[in-house]
Order: sequence, then structure tokens, then C-alpha cells
Amino acid sequence: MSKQLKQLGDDIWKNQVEKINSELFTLTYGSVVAQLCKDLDNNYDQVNNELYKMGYNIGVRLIDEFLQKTQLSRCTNMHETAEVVSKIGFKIFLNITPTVSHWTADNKSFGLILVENPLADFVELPNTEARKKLWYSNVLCGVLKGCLEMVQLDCDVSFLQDSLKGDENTEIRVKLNKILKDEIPAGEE
Amino acid sequence: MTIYSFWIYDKHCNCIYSREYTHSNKSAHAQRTASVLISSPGATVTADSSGVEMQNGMGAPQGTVNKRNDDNISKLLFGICFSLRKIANSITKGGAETARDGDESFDSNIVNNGNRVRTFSTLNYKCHLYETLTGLKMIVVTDMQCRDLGTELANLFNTVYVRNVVENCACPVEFRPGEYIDNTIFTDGVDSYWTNLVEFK
Amino acid sequence: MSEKTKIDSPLPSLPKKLDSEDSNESALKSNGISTESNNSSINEGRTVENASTMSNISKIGNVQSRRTSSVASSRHSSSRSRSIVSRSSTGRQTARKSEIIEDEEEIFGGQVNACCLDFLLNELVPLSMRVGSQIHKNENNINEMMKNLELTGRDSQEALDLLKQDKVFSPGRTDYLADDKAMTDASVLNRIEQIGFEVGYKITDCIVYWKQMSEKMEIKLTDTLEIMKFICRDVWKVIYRKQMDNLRTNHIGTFILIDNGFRPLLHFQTSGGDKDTAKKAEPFLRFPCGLIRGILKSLGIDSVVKATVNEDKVPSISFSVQTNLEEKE
Repeated sequence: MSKQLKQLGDDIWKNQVEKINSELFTLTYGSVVAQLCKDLDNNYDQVNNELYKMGYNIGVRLIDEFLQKTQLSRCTNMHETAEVVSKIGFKIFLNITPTVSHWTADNKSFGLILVENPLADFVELPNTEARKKLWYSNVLCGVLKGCLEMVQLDCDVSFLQDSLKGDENTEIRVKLNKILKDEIPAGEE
Repeated sequence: MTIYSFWIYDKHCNCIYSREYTHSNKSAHAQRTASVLISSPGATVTADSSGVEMQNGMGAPQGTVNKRNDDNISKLLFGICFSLRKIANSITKGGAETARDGDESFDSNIVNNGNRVRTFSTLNYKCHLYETLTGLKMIVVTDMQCRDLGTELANLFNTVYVRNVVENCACPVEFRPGEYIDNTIFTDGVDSYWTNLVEFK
Repeated sequence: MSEKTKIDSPLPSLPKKLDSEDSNESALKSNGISTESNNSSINEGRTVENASTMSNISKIGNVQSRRTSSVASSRHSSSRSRSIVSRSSTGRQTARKSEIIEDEEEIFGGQVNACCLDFLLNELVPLSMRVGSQIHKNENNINEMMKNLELTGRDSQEALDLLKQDKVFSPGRTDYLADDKAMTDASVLNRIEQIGFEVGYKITDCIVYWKQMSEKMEIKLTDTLEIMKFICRDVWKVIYRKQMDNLRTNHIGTFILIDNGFRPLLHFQTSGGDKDTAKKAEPFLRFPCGLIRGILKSLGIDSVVKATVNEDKVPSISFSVQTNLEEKE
């Protein structure tokens, strides 16, 4: 299963994706974050929040791009979702494949370990409050949140650790809260 | 073969796009689409199986855009699709549950993963359904002779919808009640998609 | 798939490349305009390098102080390129094929899906508007700010609840386009342009470097017209995956750059007709304006860049670039 997904992700990346230089992307994102920090007077909580919102907005649209490219059918469980997010989602957009790990016993929460992170290539955070409080790549959490919500998975998505901060790994936690039910037309049931 | 009307519903069950095609010389058909699902009038069948009527005038095909989103037919059409899908899911429910026991599977009764309705027919009309994983539902109403247009609906989503709604940052992807997709690159895109199919004529 | 096929155009062996690159660089230097010099120029060398060709350098200090103060300082790519050059130069004789391939990857960097950049750029407008209202809130309501600070210190669930209360924010909606006040607010627009400027200011060296490496072509950015052509051809190609369609000049410092299919607005249309679409598109043009200005600035040219939608027909855009600023004064 997971091997097939990897193959699919690789194929889509190779054949169906218009690519740009990642350094350009890194630079653009870096400029956005820098501008945010400046405008919000280094209030990193607000910066994190804005990055998350930006990602959320992107996520609700990006999911349709994802479905268009992948033509996948619905996952049957959270393990499958995690594999799809890593081997296809991250692969076809950022050309990376985070490792899925650290499942909780209830199978509802997992971690995505980003060995590479194109958003943060060559980025160093100054050794100030920024290193403590800024989640530099927080836009990714927003994107995941938006995407998953659109396919009826209400999840919490947040960074657990970030190597930019001197942590050992860069890890995003995804926790399923509930499956959103189909909305029912007014007047039914 | 003929395409009569095309409908899109969002996940909040609102009709965000409706398009009715009036075929020249056959305006009787268009009027009748409204009642197609309730009663099945049989009077006009004779003319349309020939498939010779062509859209003579260039430009946009005749008909209405976003005029019927909230009327009864729109709601009934959505309602029947909703119910059919539910039936389809219930039929397979037993099988889906045993398949993955103890693996915290997503409940197939809640999300639309299991069975799927592709088309259903009345005496004179055929309705083709397509639903995306994001809950967007597209329905096209054609005559009986028409082949299954499920693939075409999927194509239409993948091209016209993704390009002109999703990638159009001036167009919302979350609609409020009463809000429709009404930018012309989308409506023109839909028209040219359908009119370029042989089925349209 | 071998590593090599990832690179668009096949490269001759690397050592040769590096030689030609080195000589290009000296050629450029002797022409008086530096496309990039060395590591030190990133922080202080640039003004000296460019002094001979430009009379107005007073503003560069601002740029630099802003850059050094920016929190998220991407390490400048040219410094990276230089280090690659020097590293592979020393090991030139012994470099085996596998190492060369690795270096090629390093030179051109990885790739990401182009739509990531498209989405990011499209979000700049609503982001800037939200930031504008956030700043307003911060300034006017210290209490609220304190509350925010307290709240966000706690766990993610509370932060999320806070997010949901935020009425301005509604994903998937385009309500911000209807906010005429914010859409024309100078500070909102300048913020977008500033991001474009930063990107332009930093990307010039990268693009010059990539082009020299991939096309084995000497790039001469010796006069303003050459630079404009560089923007129309190379910069646009890298960022918007197409070239500009037309470049005009009056030969005294004003240039008109025309893109008949400006990529970010290719599918941009409101339901209010051409005029309305053109009006709503305006904030989205501030990023490329800043971008052009930033590139020119990085090459020592001050400019004023304005963008207009041609005959209200999105996505046809004209950029007017005025470069003869000091002569006018």
C-alpha cells in the first residue's frame, strides 16, 4: 500500500507538476515572514497566527488541486491518511516525503518528521525571542488543517518541534478530533 | 442525444450553479425538465432521438444561468441524489464494516467512501452524478440515450472548476446561501465544455 | 531516474563551467557593474562596488539596515554559490562524476511545485489586509494585546478557539476584495510591494547565476536596457514561467513592460465585469512592482514602478518603469 502510494507520488511529481526553483520559493516565503515580524513588531504569537491563517486559506483551495492531480478515493482510516499526506501531498507540492511516526495508542494522532523543509532552507533564526517563539514554517500547519477539514477530517495541526529552534527534529503533529458529518439539506430528517 | 441541464451543489447543500440549455425547436423539452423528476411526460420523445438538431447560432447556447438555483426542482434534484447516495451506502454498509475491524476505520455511513450512485433514469431522462471528496456534487440531466457522463463530470471538475474557481482567487470556494458561481470565465468554460461534447447536439 | 535528468538543460563538465563563470564575473566587474561580487558585498561591499556607476546611493543604507534587522534572514544565496565555487575549485582535479552531479543539484537547488508559489503570492493581499487591521488593533487596544499574549501562550486548542472567534478570517471566502478601504489603503499596498522588493533585491544574483550556469551564457547587465531585457526574459521566466510580451522605451529612462497574460491573474475574474475585475486586481500587481523595483535597486538603479491593467482586460498588464529619477530632480 505504502509502496504504491510512493510510486504514485513520484509519478505525479515527475510527470504532472510544473516545477519552479525551490530557492525562489524559500526566498519569497522568507521575505513574507520577515515582513510579518517587522509589521507585527516581533510579536511572534501574532506572526504564528497569521502564518497559520495564510496556510488555512491556501489549504482549502489546495485540496482541490490535490484531488485533481491524484484522483484518489477516500482514505479508510487515519493511517492511510497519514501515508497519503506524506507520500503524495508533501511529495507533489514540496517534493519532500516526511516520515510518519509517533502514533498514539488510539490511532488518532501522528507526527510528520520533516528531514528536509524547503520553506526553511538556509534559514537561521537570530538567537533572540524569535528562536523561542516563532514557528517559522507554521504556514504548513494551516495548509494541512485546511486540506484535511475539506475532506471532513477535523484535525488539530501544530508544530511540536523545529530544528530551526535547535530542536532535534522538525515535527508536525496531526490529531484527529472528529470526522465531520455530511451536511443535511434543510427539511430532511 | 441531448444535454438539458447542469447543476452544482456545494457541501452545504446549496446550489451554487445551475444551467439550463434550451435546444432550438425543442423548447418544450426545457420546460419539461422542471417536472422530469416528479412526473415523466412521454409526449415529446419522438423528436429527440434523431440527434440532428444543431446549435446554429454561434456564441453562448440558449437557456438560463443561475436562474433556478433555489427553486423546487433544484431542491428535489439534490434531495433525490442525497437519498440515493444514502441508500447506496447502506447497501454496502455491512461489508465495509467487517473489512477493517479494530483499525479505527472511518465510518462509511458518515463519509461517502463506500458505494456510489453514478446515474439514475426516469422514463425520458437520465441524471448523471459526480461527487468530489470535498463534497462538491455535480449533476447533469440528459436524454435516455446518453452514455454515462461520469467521466465527463470528473473532467469538467478537473479542468473548468479547478481552473476558474479554485485558481481564481477572486472567486470564493466557500459559498453563502444565495451566492452563485457567476464569473463568465467559469460559465463560458462550462458551456464550451458541454457544447463540445457530441452528446450536446 | 538519474539525478541528472532533473536538470533542465544538460551541462558540460563542471570544471569548465566554473572557469567560464569566473571569467564572466571579471568581465562584468571590469564593465563597472557588479552582478554580484563576493560575500562581503552582502553586508557592506555593495555600495562600494556600485559607486562608480551610480550617483545616488544614499538609500542603500536603509535597505541594508532593514535586511540586517530582518528576523528571518535567509542566508544569501550568492554566498552559497560562491562557497560552492570555491569548494569545487579546490577539488577540481579529483572531482569524480558523482560529486559533480551532487554539485549541480546544489547549484540549482531543489524544486517545488509551481502552484505553491502561486498560492503564496495570491495570499499576500489578504495577509497584508489582515496585518493592517491587526496593527490597528494592537495600537488602539493595549488591553486586547495583553489578552492575546496571555492566550497564545497556552495550548493549541485555545489558540485555535481564538482563531475561530476571529470574524475577519474566513477561509475560502473572498470578502476582503469588497473592502474598498483596505484595498486602496497605502500601507496595505506598500506592505505587499515591500515583500516584492525584498524578493527582487535578493533574487537577482540567483537568477544571474542560474542562467550563467545553465545556459553557459555571459550575462551583461551593463546598461538599463539590458537589465530591462533581463527582467522581461529571465526574471519573468523564473518567477512567472513566461516572458513578458513587449518592451518599449523612450530612450530617456522610461520603460513600458507589457505582459499580456500575467500569470497570477490568468484565471482572475470577479462577477462584476471587466472594470470591476481590473480594479480588484490592482493590489495583486503590487508584488511584481516591488519585484521589478527590487531587482533594479540590486543593480544600483533607483526607480518608480507602476502597473496598470490594459484596457480593463485582466490579465493584460503594463508596467511602467521610470529610471531617470535623479535627472528629473
